[in-house]
Formats: sequence, C-alpha cells, structure tokens
Amino acid sequence: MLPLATFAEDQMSSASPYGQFLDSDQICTINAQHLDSNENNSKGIILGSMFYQNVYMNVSMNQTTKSSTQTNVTLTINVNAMKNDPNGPATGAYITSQVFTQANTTAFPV
Amino acid sequence: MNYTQPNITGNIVDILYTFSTAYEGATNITLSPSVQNGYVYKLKSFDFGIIDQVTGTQSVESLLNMNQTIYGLYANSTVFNMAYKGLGLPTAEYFRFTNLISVATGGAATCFNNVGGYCILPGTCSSYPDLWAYRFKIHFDN
Repeated sequence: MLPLATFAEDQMSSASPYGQFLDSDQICTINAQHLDSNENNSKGIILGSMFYQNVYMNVSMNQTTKSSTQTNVTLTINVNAMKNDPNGPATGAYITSQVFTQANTTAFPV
Repeated sequence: MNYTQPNITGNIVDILYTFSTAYEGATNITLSPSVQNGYVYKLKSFDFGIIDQVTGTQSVESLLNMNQTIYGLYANSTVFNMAYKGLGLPTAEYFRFTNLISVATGGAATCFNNVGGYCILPGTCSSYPDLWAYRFKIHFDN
C-alpha cells in the first residue's frame, strides 16, 4: 500500500511548466506522469525515485552464467516512510497479505 | 589483448555493503523479474482508491496496464527506475487516473494530456486533507 502523497509535492507555480495555467502562487503537484506508450520503455508502470521515500529496495544480482544474471529485489517499508495515524485507520505505506472486500461507500462518487 | 571474464557466482550486492539492521525482521517481499536477465516485474493488480485496513474494505479502480495488444510483453508489469522522478503511467492508465483524481478532488485538479504531463492543484497540498486518504494498492505477481 502506497499513499498518493508519496508522489505529491508543494511547488511554486513558477517552478512548474504548467503553473501558469492556475491562478495561484503555490501549487500541489501530483507526480503521476503520462508516458509515451509508443516507446517500449514506457509501456510498463514506472516506479520512480519518489517511490523510494517510502520503500527500501535491496537489489540482489546473482550471476548464474557468464551471460545471464538474475536480478531479484526485496522491498521493505523505509524506516522514514509515512507513518500510520495511531488514532485512525492505516494511512501510511505498508506491506500486507490482507485481502480486502468491497466497501459500502465509493471512493469516487459521481 | 585477451581477456577472460571471471565466472562470478553468488550475491554480488552482499559483498558491496552490509544490509542495514534497521530493516531486519521487517515485513518484506522479494520479487524476481519476469524473464532471466530482465528488469520487468509482473503485477497481479495495480489499484487506486481508498483502502481501510481496519475494516478490511476497499473502494478502488484498476490502473493496471493489462492490454496485451498495446503493451505486449510489458502488459501487467512494472519497472523500478531511480532515474525517473515519480509514478509513470502508460497512456490509457494515465487518462484513467486523471479522471479519478478529478473526481477525488471535486474537479480541483488540472491534468495535462501531453506526454510528460501530470496533475496540479491550486494551493498547497495541505489544502486537500481528504485527498491523502487515497492510495495505490500494488499487488506483485512474485
């Protein structure tokens, strides 16, 4: 589970190429970006550097032959990750095998 | 000049540094790439919405790049890339996300459709306290 806030940041409007489109000195930027799906390296979902603010990744490269390498990754929640609110539901980053059922209320009311 | 590549086996990373004790014993998940020598990691699902760990309920929409015709070998997959800043979403999934974030913010979000585009909101992020209940649920196929 990864909070949306993982990819959010405060910016001055002038620091963003899109800032001019809002009548606001400050903007909140959600760094979920549109990839060019015509390029092979943009057809998969990319987890970029902001992901690692919450998740620690240990890369293990095991060279099985001269020309073949198996690259395994182990993901752990970062010690500096966004923390859960002790008085409320979990809102931070966490790893779980919990199975969830459909909620009675929708997160995206029309 | 003749050069014979040494036949190295074993865990190279463990030789380079010591894994921090701060992470030992913590919940973790280990993933393998979808193919040998690969860098693509398969996903079972990639959802966005509100998930309540206490009640065990969720209201989410899928952002999984599942279209095999468009994405081919890269369908249902993710790539870890330290050289990329945020979250990269292929075209169809980006447009789905922009629709969802528009609803979640009550229309406050302005999202740009061009390649490299992203969403911005007027004011500071702390102006939208309800928005931070939203999260991504990433289910790796390991």
